[in-house]
Amino acid sequence: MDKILRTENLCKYYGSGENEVRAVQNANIDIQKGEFVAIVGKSGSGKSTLLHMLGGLDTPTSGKVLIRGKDIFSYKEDALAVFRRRKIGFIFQSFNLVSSINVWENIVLPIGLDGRKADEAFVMDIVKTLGLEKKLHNLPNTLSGGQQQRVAIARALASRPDILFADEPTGNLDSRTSDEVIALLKMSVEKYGQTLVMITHDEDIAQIADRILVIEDGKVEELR
Amino acid sequence: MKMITKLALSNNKKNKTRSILIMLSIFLTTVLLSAIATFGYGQIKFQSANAEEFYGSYYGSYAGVTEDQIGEMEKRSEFDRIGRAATIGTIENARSISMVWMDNETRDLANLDRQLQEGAFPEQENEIAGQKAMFERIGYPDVKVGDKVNIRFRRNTHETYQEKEFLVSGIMSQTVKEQENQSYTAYVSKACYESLYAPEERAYTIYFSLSDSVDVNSSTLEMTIKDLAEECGINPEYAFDNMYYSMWVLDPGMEMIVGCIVVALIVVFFAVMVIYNIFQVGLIQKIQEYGKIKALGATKKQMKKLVFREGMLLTIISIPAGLIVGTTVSIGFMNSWLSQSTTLGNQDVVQVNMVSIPLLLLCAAASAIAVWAALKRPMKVISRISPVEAIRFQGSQKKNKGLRRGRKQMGVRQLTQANMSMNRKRTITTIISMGLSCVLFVVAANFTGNVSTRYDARKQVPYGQFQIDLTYSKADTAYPENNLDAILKANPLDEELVEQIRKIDAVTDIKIRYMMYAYDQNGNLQSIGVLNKEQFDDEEYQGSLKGEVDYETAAKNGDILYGWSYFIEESGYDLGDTVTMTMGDAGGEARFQGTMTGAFGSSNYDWIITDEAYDQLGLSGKSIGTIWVDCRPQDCTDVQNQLEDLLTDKQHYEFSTYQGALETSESSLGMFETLAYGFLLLVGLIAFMNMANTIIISIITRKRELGVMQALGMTNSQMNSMLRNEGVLFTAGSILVSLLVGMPAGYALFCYGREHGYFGLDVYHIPVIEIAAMIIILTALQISLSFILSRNIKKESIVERIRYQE
Amino acid sequence: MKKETRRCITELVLGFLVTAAVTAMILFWQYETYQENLASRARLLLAENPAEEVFQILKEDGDLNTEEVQDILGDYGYEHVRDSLEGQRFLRNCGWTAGGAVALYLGYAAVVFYEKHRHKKEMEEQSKKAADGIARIREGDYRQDLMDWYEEEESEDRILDELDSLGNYVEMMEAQAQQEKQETKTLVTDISHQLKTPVAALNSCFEVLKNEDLTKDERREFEGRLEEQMQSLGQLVEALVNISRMETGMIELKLTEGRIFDVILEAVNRVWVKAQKKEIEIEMEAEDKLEDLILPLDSKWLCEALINLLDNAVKYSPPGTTVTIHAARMASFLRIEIQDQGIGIARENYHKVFQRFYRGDEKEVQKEEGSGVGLYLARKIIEGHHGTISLDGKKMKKEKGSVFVVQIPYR
Repeated sequence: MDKILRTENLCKYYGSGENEVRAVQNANIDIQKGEFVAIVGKSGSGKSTLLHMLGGLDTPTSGKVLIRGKDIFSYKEDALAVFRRRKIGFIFQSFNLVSSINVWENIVLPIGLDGRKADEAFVMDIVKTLGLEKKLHNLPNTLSGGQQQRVAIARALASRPDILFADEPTGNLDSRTSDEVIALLKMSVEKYGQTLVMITHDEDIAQIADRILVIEDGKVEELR
Repeated sequence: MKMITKLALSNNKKNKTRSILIMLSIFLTTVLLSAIATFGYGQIKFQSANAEEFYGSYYGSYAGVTEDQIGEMEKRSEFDRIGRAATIGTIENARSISMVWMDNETRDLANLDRQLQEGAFPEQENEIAGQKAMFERIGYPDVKVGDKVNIRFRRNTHETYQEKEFLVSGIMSQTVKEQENQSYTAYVSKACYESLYAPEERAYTIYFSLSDSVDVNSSTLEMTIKDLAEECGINPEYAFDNMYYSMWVLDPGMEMIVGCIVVALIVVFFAVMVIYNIFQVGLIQKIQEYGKIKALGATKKQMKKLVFREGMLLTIISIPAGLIVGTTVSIGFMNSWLSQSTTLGNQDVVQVNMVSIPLLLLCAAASAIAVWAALKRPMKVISRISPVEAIRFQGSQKKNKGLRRGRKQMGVRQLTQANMSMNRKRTITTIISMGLSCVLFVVAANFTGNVSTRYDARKQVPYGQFQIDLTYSKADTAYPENNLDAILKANPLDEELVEQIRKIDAVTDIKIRYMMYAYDQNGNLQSIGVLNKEQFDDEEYQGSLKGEVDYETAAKNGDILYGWSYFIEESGYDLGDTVTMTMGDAGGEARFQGTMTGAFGSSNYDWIITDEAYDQLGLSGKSIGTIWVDCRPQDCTDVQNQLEDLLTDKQHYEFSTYQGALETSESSLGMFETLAYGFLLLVGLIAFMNMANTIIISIITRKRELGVMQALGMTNSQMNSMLRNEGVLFTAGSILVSLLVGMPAGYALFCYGREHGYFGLDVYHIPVIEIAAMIIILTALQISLSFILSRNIKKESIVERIRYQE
Repeated sequence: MKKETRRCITELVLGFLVTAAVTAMILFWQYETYQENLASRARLLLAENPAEEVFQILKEDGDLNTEEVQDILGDYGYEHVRDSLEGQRFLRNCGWTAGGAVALYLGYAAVVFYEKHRHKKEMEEQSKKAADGIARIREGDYRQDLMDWYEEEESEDRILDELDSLGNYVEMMEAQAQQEKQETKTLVTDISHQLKTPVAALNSCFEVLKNEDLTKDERREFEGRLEEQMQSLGQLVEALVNISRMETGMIELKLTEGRIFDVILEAVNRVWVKAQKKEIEIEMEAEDKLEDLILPLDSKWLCEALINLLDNAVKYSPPGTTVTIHAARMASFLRIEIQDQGIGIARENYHKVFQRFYRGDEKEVQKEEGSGVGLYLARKIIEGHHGTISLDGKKMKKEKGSVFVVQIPYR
């Protein structure tokens, strides 16, 4: 099976000497294409750091992140940004929608940043899948948390990335909405053939994943 | 209490950008204020110090006062110091040389001792003092103290000349005014006066100063001393006030003070606006933090105090620094101005201490008050928030429906537009406040940029290269020979002179204007200009006309026009009234009757008639009022020398050159420009602080959003271009505002100025260079700002920025 | 390519227009100067006192218009431009200007052509790269070297990007085929493993029955046990068939619009008898609107999945308890909760219960019959409906029993 994402002895340390914090220690992760992998850990377990490194937002102390066999940290900064917007999608806990533009504009923004024209039919399909068609002209701060997260998902999906990284996507939502958002996420990822890596502290949500990795004190293990 | 100060200090340290911006604004404000204050104060002090120096410290003088009247004066409390002087007679010469005696008090009041180069004032009966040039005139070219000179003089025009041998006791320096007029004074002793005049013949000119208890200012002085004269039995007609002294010393430059206060108010207004803006925007960001402090139990008062101290702590360094810099700058500026200033041309300018500690303290207080005023609202806002509200506070609440039409496709450009339209209010406020400060600039640029020194010089010397004018008085009762009627009867500028000038080789053209004198119905002497069509039209072009001013009609109907539209009431006539007066010149006198149809803006004459109206008077000979001589520029020095030779023996004229007028107007314009632009630069800087703040805040508050966008794949260059576009929009907006408002305002000001005959305003043209410079500077500042900011923001990793939560 | 040419031509034409306009302006200006010069010469000719006139000319503008000038100069024979030195200078200047303009324009054209040439070359290079990429895919090397492309910032070569995606796709397809093979293998292993135990048990039963020393009662008992085992084997085989069909893609869920309410009712009916036996009540809480809710489903298999869930709930609940079905419509999913008051599931096993052939170690579980296939099958079916199935850990923490959550999208 194709390994879309792989890490080799990925480490991230903060501070030094006695104050050294080992946020991620020798993580060796293999993620297959099309998989839905949940990384579960308590807060402070280093899971966010791990995800940020996987997505190229943060640089590791040592080790490599290989996306489709390429070490992403060998790219120059702007090349990495281009890579990110074409191959990687992000969904954040706090949605992080751009407040000054409406839902549709938020969704097509990454495509626009890439200098491409949004495939309106495709985006509309996503919008329908996520049930946002009536909210397209709303500004983000008029939407409920669940709706905002749907917009964030739509935004992540719209640029057809290979991998989606979701950082506590349901952290700000109640449990029923969380379940639904995860279901949506999973459904969309399947529908558009993408790989999803999600970090969460909520084991209930992790059940839905194909595979669960547990991170504790910076060490990553597979839950079987 | 101490806790709050500490908290305020740490808050300031935390918001480094904000603190620096506010400190800079306060600093600049203080610089401006203290510079203005020092400049104004120095000017006034300098003027008053030098007024005494140049014009003497007497309040006024009475002529023809007898011993008894002096005794009366000495009895009165109003008079402080009384000095006597008397005219002994005139020395025989082509030039007017008067012989006078002054006592010590008078010499002191008139500040005459300053002019003494060597020796002493005369004490003995046969001693005399005077300028070197004066002795030269009467045939003693190289006179020294102790030399004997023979002088022919007479007491008055009814007597014959007598000769007397004098001993030169002192040599005086020449004042500029004397040099110009080529009139001289010889000083003799009291003994000399008394030997020549019997006690009953004696009449003195009294110079006096009033005691401090008399409440006078420049406008009441004349009346006061006339009243006093009457009290003492002195004819009030012979009372004269020392106008310059009263203007500078009694009334210390009201105009200057008002001007300074207006400018200072503008500065304070700007400062309040900018500091308020910076604080307000910063607060909204920090409102949660303040909420926490409040939740911990701070009272309303303490919250207010906290904000207040945050502001005031920032003034601690910036105000003193601003005071020092502002004072230094303006002292340096004044000194360079004085050293440049050729109009004074005097080595004896009194150096004054231009620094006034109370004034500077006032400036500091004004800056502090500006900060306080700017803090007032934020203080209120902060003290009013409830902790829960504050912690929940999510930036600015939008009142709109939360809908946006938006676009189908998004790019960096659309994003910028969306940002702008979203924060429309803030964007517009910033653009307008930026724009307004640019408006000031544009308006001033419209004004200064259009000042034409040539035009201004041409106002002084309308034709040719040289101008020879008659100088005359109209009400000199002491020396009636200086009055216009007397002068015109023996006009120094006669046809012969014109012929002589015409004979000078290099002279290419000569223009002449005739003039007359006239007595109105009250017997007052008036000057009349006789203008031909060309001169009439040129005068008309200067503007500020009243009534019908047209050469053809005036010539046909024999109308008369008033020379000063501003003071037309003083003529005693209304437009359309018939004016009757006796006019005269070298050719005799005749009655004139004509309708006053209009008035010129500011001509050199009281009244103006056309040459055709003059012809109708049927007098035998015209009197020349002004001669203009033209030559090629390269021949100027040559012609000037020859002209001066021709004029050596003449009196009652003024000789001016076009080049000289040009230089004067250039030097004063340069001054004006430096001042105006310097001021505008500082105002511009403060305004730029405002813009910088808006941009910085807009970036800081969107730090997270920017981080998210980068996570979504925005490259650095895209981010840069987005920030740059925003800035460019700000800049373009402000420039647009400034042009839209500033150009019409500037044009209006220009028209107003032209209408009122201000300094060298002639043809309007758009001040392209100034505006281009403004645009370039703004853009450059803007670009470097967004560059620095985006560099700054890149220091933090994307992850940090995404997590960034206030 | 055509677009390129068109752009090139536009650039050339625009450049020409600009150059021509500027040149024309300069020429016009020169002509003006020439005319003015001529006019001043003409004035000099007219004047009585040429020396005086020089100053007049220096000071004021000439008042003569072109025709007058021509007349005056014509009188002296200066009729053509060439006749005067001034005119010759004018012509020379015009020559220089025109020449300069032509040179400038040629330079500009050269630059445009060079640009076009370079662009073409770049395009060729890119297509060569693309061709190489395609060739590599054919040869079985699906990975494109992405790195170089991203190095060229903002590169326009999306073709290469797409090519890269194509390579990935082909690679994935191949990998999928590989994986299917692999999965079939494991499935066979798993099934044979699952069959081993019951078949062995059956075998031993037969062995016992073959023994003729058995009493009648014993024999009856074993025959009964044999029957039971045969039955459960039959069930197991049926389940295995389902699973293997499912796994190998022999069952394809045919999603058609259907009323989900009917499906739930059908499932409840199917477990009703069994529940009745254990005196377990099945309650249903649903909004009225749900009765008419239509969503894409495969009624047979979805029913099967729900039966498995309900059966499971009944199986592991003590008698006299209630199984509640709670259905609610969410924003885009139908949420069905199946709550029992049974033995529940330990937290650490949440994700395991849905695994193939997983059975709990607890004695309550072991006591019951089961193959560890039901929940797995249910999960597969529900995932086939683009839905999810999970356990509601938060509810289970508070209450006894387990809560299964099924979410199925309704649009």
